[in-house]
Amino acid sequence: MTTLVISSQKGGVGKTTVAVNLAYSLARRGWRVLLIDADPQGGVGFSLSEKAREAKGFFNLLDPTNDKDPRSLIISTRLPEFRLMMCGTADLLSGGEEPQDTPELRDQLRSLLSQFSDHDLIIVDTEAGIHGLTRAIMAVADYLLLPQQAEPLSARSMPRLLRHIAALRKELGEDASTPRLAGLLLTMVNGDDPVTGEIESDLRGMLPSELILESRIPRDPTFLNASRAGIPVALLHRKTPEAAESFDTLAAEVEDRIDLAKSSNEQESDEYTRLMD
Amino acid sequence: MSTLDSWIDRDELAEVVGELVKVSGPPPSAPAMEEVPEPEDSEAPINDTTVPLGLEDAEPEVFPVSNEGQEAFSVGLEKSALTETEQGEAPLDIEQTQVTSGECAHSHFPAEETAFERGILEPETDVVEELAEEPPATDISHGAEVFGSVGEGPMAESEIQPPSLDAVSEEAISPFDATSPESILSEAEFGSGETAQDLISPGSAEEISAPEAEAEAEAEAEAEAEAEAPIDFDEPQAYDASAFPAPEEPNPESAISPLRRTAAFQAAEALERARDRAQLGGLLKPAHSPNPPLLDEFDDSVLQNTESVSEEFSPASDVGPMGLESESTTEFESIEVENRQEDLDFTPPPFEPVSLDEEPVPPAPENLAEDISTPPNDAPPSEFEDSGDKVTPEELPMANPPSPTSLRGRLMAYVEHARQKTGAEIVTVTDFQSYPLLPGPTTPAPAHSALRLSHWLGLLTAELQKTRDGVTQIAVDHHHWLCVVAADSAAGGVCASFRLNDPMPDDLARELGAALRATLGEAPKVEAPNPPLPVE
Repeated sequence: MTTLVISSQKGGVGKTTVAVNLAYSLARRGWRVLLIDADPQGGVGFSLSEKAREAKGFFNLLDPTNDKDPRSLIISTRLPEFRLMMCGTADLLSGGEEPQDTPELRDQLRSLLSQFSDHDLIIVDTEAGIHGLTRAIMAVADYLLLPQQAEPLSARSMPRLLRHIAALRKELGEDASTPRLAGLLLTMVNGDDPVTGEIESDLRGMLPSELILESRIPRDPTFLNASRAGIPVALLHRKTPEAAESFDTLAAEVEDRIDLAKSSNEQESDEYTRLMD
Repeated sequence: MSTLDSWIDRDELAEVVGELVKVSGPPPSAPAMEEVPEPEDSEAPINDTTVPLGLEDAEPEVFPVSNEGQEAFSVGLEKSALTETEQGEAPLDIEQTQVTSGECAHSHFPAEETAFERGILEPETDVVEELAEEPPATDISHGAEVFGSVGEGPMAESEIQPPSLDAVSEEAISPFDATSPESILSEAEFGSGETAQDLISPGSAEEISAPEAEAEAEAEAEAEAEAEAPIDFDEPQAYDASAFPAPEEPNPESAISPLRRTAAFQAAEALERARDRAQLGGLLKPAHSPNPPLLDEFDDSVLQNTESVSEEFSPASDVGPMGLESESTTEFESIEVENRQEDLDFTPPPFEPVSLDEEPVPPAPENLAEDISTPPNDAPPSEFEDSGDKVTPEELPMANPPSPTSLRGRLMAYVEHARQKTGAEIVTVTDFQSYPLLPGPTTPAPAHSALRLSHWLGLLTAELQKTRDGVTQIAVDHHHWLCVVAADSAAGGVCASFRLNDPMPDDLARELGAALRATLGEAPKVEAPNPPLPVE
């Protein structure tokens, strides 16, 4: 099981869109993917179902009074490999106050995530900002994927985002093997806009290829239509929309960057060993 | 000047990037970076006779163009070719793109120049004589490694020949990418008027006799000391672009530099690896997680999430086209599909379960009422293995034929059925992205792609004329025909192509198309082959 957290310091960069569509693309490739909505705004649920706001989910599991089996809150979709956990009712948690990034919270998150080990990949969509709960989730994750809007304001804040990541790594100690960086993902790339092109060129020039994904997500009205329809963009039309192909490319690249095949093989090997024992 | 330069402190960014690069990507089991050999003479003394040519020391370390260069660099140099130490110690400042070639020539070898001016360094005759005796082999080695690191990784010395260096430099350097480090690198190594070919040409070197060479070297040194007129790297026409052959069809307005293209090659390789994994079964679900039939209408607003969702999350209401559902309901829905198919008087083709029924599947109930009377599965709804399957070596992907309940198993049954029906030599099943879904011999990809294109055009014609189903087949030579059948579903499309000795009859093609759709769990479509999906 690999945990991939999608986070960014700035809001509106497309985290939820990336989370939903990347999860769907990876599931289509055969990986058992659980998408957890850890954003109190409930973006994932609202992207897929109007009724999602009433479903219990991730935040309910963080509530000390919770007695629900975490696995019972997983919602299956028609693509069997793709499963969801809604954000739940966040206001139940600590009287609505945002949880702080504490060792106890991290332990609780580790324990929680370990219960979903029958998935190949857990994708966690977080709220904007790297603090509190989001920071704790990042601390216990295996990989971080950082959507980065290809626009000037977002690009200027990029160093600060990286500083936060570096600080988190430093806090965890040099020996910590995780979290690792899957990379920055350029989103909302408008190929017709010279400013966007310039920003993309600058960012790719500044950052080594290890830190920035080759794939990029275009700015495309198809995403709005898909969101309105409550489906991943790949399901919008019978013929795969062009915008969806960018997520297929992204899925292939992410799969490679986080070495999903290896971790999955190790997991299957562990299961096999357990069965043999 | 980058638009972000005034906003981003590059020194600080370089420091952070240096830390994060170490923890990017998969854990360091992939040793691509560490395997790059360290050039032996990277610490060569300054009176090394090969130094002035610049080819031997084409390491990033020898290009600290300025002391300000503690930067994130890397516009062009492939980071995978650098060791971590090199990444930390050898930054290239992107702003160096504005340094003139004369400054580059001076700043790259300040010690050598000082020594030369003081008369300590006497490389000229030796170097020229070395060139005359052993023209290219040794001098291009490290330079080629640098180029190789930009492109396809380090080369063995034995592989390096002058033409290959020429080819590599042609591929990697573009005059339209004046800001790339290769341009700086090449300028620094070869001078603005020289090319790698100039330096390694055996003919030119052999023509130089020793006295002439000495005089010529002095002249060169003087010229180098005086330097040429400063070159503005932001102005492509300001320097001799002919030294750097343009790639085919250069696009000056493109934001993607040749080095980004190199990265694109890496991405393509990653895709290729993914494709390979797909061929090994990675595209489909592992055998221990059976794939229940997909529904024909994914926007059918039926939610049966009675077990896994809270009471407030009413399953009867609008849930969106994703159709959130609980695990335990998929069986009901699959039976529902079967009954719907029966209502349409469509009988799926008789699959040949001979080799696939090693894992017996409980017989499906005759009708929905009977199925409802069956108690639901009590297993936790989130277990992928709740069908009882456990992973064994035999069930791992590709080890044995998968369960007939999985999509892969059903596709294999379909192929077997179609092969018996048609006598096709080769049956290729791919998704719409041309990923082969099953192992075994496949139709050549170009032929398959061309056939698919023809198929879609045929469907378009059929859609417009409403005369017949699209049956697409072409003669690939005097003895063989290819016929393609495609089916789409909510989870993706699948193509099957058949290599036959004779054209496939229309009715058989239609039957196979319907069978393939049924294999995917789609209801048979009799009229329009691919009706557009209404989006609300």
